Amino acid sequence: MNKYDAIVIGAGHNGLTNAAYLAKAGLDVVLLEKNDFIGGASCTQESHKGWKYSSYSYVCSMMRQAIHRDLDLARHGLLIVPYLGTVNFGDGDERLFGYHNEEAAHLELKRHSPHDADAMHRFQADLTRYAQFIRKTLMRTPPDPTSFRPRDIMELLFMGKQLWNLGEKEIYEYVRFFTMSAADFLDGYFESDLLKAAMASAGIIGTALGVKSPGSSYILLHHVMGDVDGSIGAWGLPRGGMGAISESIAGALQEHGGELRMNASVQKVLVENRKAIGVVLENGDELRAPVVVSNLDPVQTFMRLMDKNDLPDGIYRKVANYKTRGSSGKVNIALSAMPKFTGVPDNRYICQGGQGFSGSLETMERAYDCWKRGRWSDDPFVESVIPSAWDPTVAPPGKHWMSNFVQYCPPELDTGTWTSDDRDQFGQAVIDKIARYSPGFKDLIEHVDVRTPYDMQEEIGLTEGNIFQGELTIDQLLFNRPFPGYAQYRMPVKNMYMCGSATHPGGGVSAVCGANAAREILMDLRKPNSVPEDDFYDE
Amino acid sequence: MYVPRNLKGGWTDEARQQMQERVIETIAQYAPGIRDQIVHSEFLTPADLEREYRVTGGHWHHTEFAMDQMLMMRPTYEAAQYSTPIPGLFLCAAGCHPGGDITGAAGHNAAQEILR
Repeated sequence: MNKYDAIVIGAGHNGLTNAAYLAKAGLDVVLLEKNDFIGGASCTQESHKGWKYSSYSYVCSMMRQAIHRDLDLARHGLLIVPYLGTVNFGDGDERLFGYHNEEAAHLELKRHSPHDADAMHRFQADLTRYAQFIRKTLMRTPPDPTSFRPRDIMELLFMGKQLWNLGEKEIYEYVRFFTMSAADFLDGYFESDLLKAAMASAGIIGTALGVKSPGSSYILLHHVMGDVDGSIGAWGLPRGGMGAISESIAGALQEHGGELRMNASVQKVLVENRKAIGVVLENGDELRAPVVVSNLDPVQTFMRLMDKNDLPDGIYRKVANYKTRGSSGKVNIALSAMPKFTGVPDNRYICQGGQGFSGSLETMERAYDCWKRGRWSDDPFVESVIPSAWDPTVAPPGKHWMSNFVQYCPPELDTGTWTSDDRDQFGQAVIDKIARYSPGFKDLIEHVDVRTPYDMQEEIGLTEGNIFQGELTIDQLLFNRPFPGYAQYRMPVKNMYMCGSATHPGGGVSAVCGANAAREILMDLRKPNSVPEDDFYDE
Repeated sequence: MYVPRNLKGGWTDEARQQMQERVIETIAQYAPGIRDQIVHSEFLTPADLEREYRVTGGHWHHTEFAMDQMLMMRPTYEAAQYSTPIPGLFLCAAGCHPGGDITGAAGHNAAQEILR
């Protein structure tokens, strides 16, 4: 029984979502996963006995509520708990606390700069408006601006109308915003360097850009357009780790009758007369279906799974030019107790939230300079969170798990491929940085798990370890994602589709790429659409 | 290329000397005899350009050629197309579209706007 209505390759959260919606529409779907765990980068792994690490991706905000609700993920076990507060560490003794309570947040900013405390209202209002515009494009297929098909023209008009609604001044601001660097953008509002550093961190996460590189302000927006339970820009942690997101979508998939096959690595996509007809697995099994969907990035899909002769001319060059520079590392640390940080009051709202070891814009830019040379910085930017502070399922009682996201970390070092020594030294640089602000930190460490971009490529198939399956720069967004002319989830081979983060609207565990691709596939098959529309909060 | 306006420690005579020396050294790598041929040399930092020509930040395009400061957003959208928010006051220099590099275009375009 190896004939299906659709084959989906790769059980990352987008592959799961795509398969779930195809199954929901009544298709006989099989989802193939090379690993013995699902989720790709949104996984939970017990790398140390008793601890459950979200080994790669670690926080959630961009998951669309419409999908969350529609697939009934709460019933399948998904619970997202919002962050309480944050603390940002300056290069010296300076600390900046972030509170959810507006008055507390305002008073705290005032302590650093009365000017910035007022500017924050303007900043948030502006950013929310920009986010509203881009949010509306998320669960829609990007129009092809060179096509005259009614659907593309309608979509272009829709986008034009949204832009027009912003008003003349806003349009200018919006265009400027899209191309600026995060540092320039923030300079227009704030004077406190620590505040700017704390805000700029969202502009560089996962991206091979510096805080002063043009285009980084869009990435900043990309990270504030999500929400937790309708609270826009909020971030949360899924109970049980990021794997809970994948597990819950897998629950929905199975409920709708979809099949999930583990340890099923695809060797090749079968193409006949420029039409995809199925796949061959590494164990030799052949599976057939009139629809083949790849959740892998374009480099993996086109260069590894497909034969060059099956593809039209020119695609290879586009794939080779597609930017997948990896820039982020991850250090998961098991702790025997809750660490204490200097200069941080014993307040559970800030102690149990996230920690940003951002320093200053200059520190961050210098860390980027190291990455360019194929090194990590001895003073890296680290974004941390201790999920076990409010999720008892991820560490043994009384003990803790600290997730440390590190920007920047090169996919390949100037000395060559990552060795285990390099890995240890990289982990040590991160530990040293944290210990600078938490003197007893090193004594609490029970286990350290280091993930470099190289590991991301080897274990979960992200080329060069790019966490977004390709950079979110303006040349690779909207109708240019992943390449011009192929932004509508259809591939250059008939019956074949893409559904990963390499497609619009990009990475960030939003599940939107998978859902959008499912909608396009069902449209081609002339089946009723099973994918919901997005919620617009301002209308 | 890449000479900072605000050098850490300031543009002291020593810093100038050092930078100038480095430039000559770089050129000498490709033109070995150049040192003996130097009759006079002058080194202008962005700080000097600012002082002598009043270009803020010593930026010889008056403002950066970044996407957010180009076309109808140069130097800023309120003061683009050569007219400013103050009636009768016009801009005609490198800070306007199409920018610096001795094209004469900014002055030409501004004159056209004024005459209109």
